[in-house]
Amino acid sequence: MTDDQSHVGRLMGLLGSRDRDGALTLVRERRSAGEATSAIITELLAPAQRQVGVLWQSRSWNVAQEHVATAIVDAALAELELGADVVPTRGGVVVCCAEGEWHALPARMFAEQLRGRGWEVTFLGASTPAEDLARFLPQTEVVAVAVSCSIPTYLVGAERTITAVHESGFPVVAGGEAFGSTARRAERVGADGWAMTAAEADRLLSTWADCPPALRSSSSDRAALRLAAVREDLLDSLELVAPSLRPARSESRTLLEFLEAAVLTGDPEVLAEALPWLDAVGDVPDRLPQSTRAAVDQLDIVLLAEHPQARQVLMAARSRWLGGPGPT
Amino acid sequence: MAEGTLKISEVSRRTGLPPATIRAWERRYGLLTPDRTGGGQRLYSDDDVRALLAVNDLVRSGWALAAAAEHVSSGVVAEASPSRVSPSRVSPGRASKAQPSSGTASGGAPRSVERRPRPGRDGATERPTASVAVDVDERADRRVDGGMDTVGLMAAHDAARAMLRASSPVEVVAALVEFVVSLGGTVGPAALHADDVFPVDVSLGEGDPLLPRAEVFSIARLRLEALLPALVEDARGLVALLHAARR
Repeated sequence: MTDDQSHVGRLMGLLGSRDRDGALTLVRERRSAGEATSAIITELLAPAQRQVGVLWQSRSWNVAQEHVATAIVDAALAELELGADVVPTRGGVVVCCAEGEWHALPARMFAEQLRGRGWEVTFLGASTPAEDLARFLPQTEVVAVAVSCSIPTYLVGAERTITAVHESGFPVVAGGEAFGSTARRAERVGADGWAMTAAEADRLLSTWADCPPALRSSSSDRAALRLAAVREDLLDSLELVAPSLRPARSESRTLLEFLEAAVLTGDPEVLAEALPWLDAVGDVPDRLPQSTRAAVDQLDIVLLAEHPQARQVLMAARSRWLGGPGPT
Repeated sequence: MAEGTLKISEVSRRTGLPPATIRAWERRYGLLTPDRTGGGQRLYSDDDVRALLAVNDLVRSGWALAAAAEHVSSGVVAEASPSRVSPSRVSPGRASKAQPSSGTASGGAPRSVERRPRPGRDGATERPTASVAVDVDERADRRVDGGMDTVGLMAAHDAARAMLRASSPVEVVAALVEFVVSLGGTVGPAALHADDVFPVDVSLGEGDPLLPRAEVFSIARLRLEALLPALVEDARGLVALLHAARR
């Protein structure tokens, strides 16, 4: 086991036993040993937080355990923030989360790494409604606003946030798991740039500090909004054609939200990625096996007449998930 | 158009706008048409300065930026009063930078002296007048019209004061919980699937997880969505400071 892996393992043990003081001590030890803040974040805290997510998704940990662990990782990050002493010399950046996105920890980690690179960062916290965002955006020298989105169902909120930021005249760099591994989704929702890591964002911000970009417009598919407007009606129709899905209405709703995000970005992969874990995770104790597959097939019928585009995206995601064409 | 003689740094000083914003507005909205030196440097005119001031005033009064820029570009420019061309003018953003950690102006008092024309999204707008800085009773801001703003902001103000007086992390958490409850929400243990739960733990690690709840589409929910994130951020920073002070 490498040194890093053993530290992550040690932290996971402390998170599991709710040992906040132990976790903070571990972080202080690493810092006293001369390790940079960014390395502690990317090699200890972020991997541990990802494991927390995996444990929750696989139902090994319940939601209370997940919250406790997240709070400790958060406290460890706050410990690093307090001890940071880099003088900001490179310009201002605002970091915020997409509207609806309450997973603030990835954005906080990103914000702290940017601070370590000399940027003066203002972190706005978790989800802020787009219409309220303007009053939090400063009038002073800010190179860009970074918008973080972890869950693809909040990409529509990300688009609203980006539009609000552009209304105030600032360029946007988008990042987070929801945007995937290419710039495509970010561009579709109107971001002026996209970065997977703080290092990439740093390079982009440096460029923009000298030469601000023209502000993009969103090119997302409005069919997604029409779909969202009738979401509950679609769920009712789904349960009419497939009464066995009634106990799983909540899961079906989540399925629809992912479909909306896939239509918004024109990327079936947004839904295809979610289908396996939607299938594996669910809180209905007696749910039927393969009910996600049943829901997808029934949704195909429900969408047939009025939402042809959404249907196409659904089928594309289905075949990526199952590895073959769907029922004709 | 007046001849350009001002460099961007001077325009920045006169308007209080950073050079990057000036360049962005120029590029995005075609608001200005600076001359260029032989070396390519932009040279702005007094008309350009007046246009920037006018746009900035409208935006601060509640206009959307694009609408303000279009309005000003179309030739309707408010005459700036002498006091507004003061080089010592400080923008609200600079004032809020002095605040610790999160640096947001959360729960800040509404500006009381500016007339607020209705945002010009559809073009049917009031013309800005020379007396932009005038005490008026009417407010076009839809949030205040809905009666939500004052209650929410007062609750946030009270919570911030309580947090400032806190001498322990537990007291900070108590202030946060009180804030949620005072706005009509509730706080309870973590639950797996409930539409009305905010997935943010306001215990801040001081005990078992506590998640706020407010009925979807209720006014409590709208207020909490608008005000909770920044307050949680401030509370988090404060808890970390208190822990550090105790060591």
